[in-house]
Amino acid sequence: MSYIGIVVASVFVSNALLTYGLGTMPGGNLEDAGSFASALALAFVNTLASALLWLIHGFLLAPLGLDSLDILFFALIAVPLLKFVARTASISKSRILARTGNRAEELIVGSLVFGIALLSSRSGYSLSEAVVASAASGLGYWLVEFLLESLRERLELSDLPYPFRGAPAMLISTGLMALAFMGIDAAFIKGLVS
Amino acid sequence: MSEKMREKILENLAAGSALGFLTLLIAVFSIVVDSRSIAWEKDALAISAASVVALGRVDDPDFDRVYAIRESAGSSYGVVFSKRSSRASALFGATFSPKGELRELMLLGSCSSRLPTNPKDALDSFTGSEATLSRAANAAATAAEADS
Amino acid sequence: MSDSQESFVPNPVLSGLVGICPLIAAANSLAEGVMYGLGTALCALAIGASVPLLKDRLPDRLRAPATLCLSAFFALCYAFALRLYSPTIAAGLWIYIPLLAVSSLSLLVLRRTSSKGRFGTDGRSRLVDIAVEALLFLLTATVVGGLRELIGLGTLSIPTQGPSPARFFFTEWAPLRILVSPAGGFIFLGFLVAVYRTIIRATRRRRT
Repeated sequence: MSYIGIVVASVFVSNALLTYGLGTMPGGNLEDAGSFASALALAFVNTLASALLWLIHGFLLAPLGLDSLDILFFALIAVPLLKFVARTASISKSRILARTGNRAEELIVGSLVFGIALLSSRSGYSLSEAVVASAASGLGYWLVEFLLESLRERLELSDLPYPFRGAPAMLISTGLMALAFMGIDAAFIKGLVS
Repeated sequence: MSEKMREKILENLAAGSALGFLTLLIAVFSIVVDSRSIAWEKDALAISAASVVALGRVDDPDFDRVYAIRESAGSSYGVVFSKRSSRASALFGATFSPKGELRELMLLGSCSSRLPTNPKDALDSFTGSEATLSRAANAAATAAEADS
Repeated sequence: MSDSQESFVPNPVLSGLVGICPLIAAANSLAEGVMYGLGTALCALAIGASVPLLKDRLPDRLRAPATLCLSAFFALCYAFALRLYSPTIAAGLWIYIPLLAVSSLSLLVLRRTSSKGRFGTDGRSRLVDIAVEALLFLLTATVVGGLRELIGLGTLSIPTQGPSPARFFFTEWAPLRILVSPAGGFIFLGFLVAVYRTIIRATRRRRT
């Protein structure tokens, strides 16, 4: 598949939250959920995590026939490296870099980063394809976060029955959004861009 | 070297050794599990598992290994692969001739779906199934060449 | 977004929304829900039991990485055990089994951040607390998976050993197939949380 196809598939067809259910529920306690710093952090952390896992898988695990141990080596090698980079960014003097670093630190030990790294490494991509796919998946998650954050603000102002206030309304809205994304057919996209 | 620095290094070494031991343990476990999985896949591909030989590992997202099935009329080559969509998942077995032509397709098991009972129809309900079959056929043909 | 912990059946998923998103994608049948819930419960229990033992032996800076590595270790052990038990369910749960390494940790974070344990604050009581949370997560995953499969496909699959889970058919066709997709899962869980809240509110009103 071409890189454009990988980007479109990762953002819409195989969206990290709406298709795979990765990441925390958006519209929860996240500050700056739809901000530029969040987008930067998501793209950066996922790209670096996927690249590291791909390299660990390609040069360490596959030659030894230990493919299934990817998560352990990810926790051992990639997570400390990612935390170090995020912490370095968070103490930077630049405000945007500091916010990106803080957001990145929140994301690192979470199902989103682990999940996207696993998806990229187990999809048979080359290194460049894995990097593009994971960056696009991170941005796809940010897009959904941004849309749901706007929805959440509107829902808070609505007069909903008590049982549906907050989380239930957000979950149902997320489901309806996922239904809309499901309309983007995987086979059609593959045919269009491959 | 100060006392504090030495302590830190010793602590790191101890933690590293403990993690190394855990990694070794899980690596041994994974080898045992792999061998049991191979035995299961051999059983699934042929009536007599004794006639099936596991060839080398293959780098493919859907399957790990190609198997050679030794029959009286000649050899065929088999693959066990999984297909998954957001609503269903299934395990399939496929056998190929040495030239890579599909001989038999089997539906070995499925989860969370009302898949058609016909293996070909079941496989067609997943996206990318043609690509997987074609890669499996290529892997079988390559394995046949190396095997002969 | 979380309800008070004083509910009559406090539930990590339905009140704290813990581990909710992977549950939606992973638990789309009874068999997968049970095995995913069991994996999370066992991993959370194992970490909850082993981390306090290391607390005195590990300096603060090594505690978080060691917990994560232990969590990954237990998740891998469960992944291998599941592959031996049922290769089809293991293939169906795919990346969600390795992700137990982080989703089981979130159950423990919930326990750590709550102000007091239900059964006390000493080591053994905390372990009982974790066991109860883990059991409730397993129950929720079972209910979510079972109801989605029953209403969505009209079948129920029991996680038996072997190539395929045992399946029981209740209808001739799938009544609401969308429910087994992630979109349907989000909507279903939204209504389930709403029902749970209604029950809690009614119980609290009856007590006061």
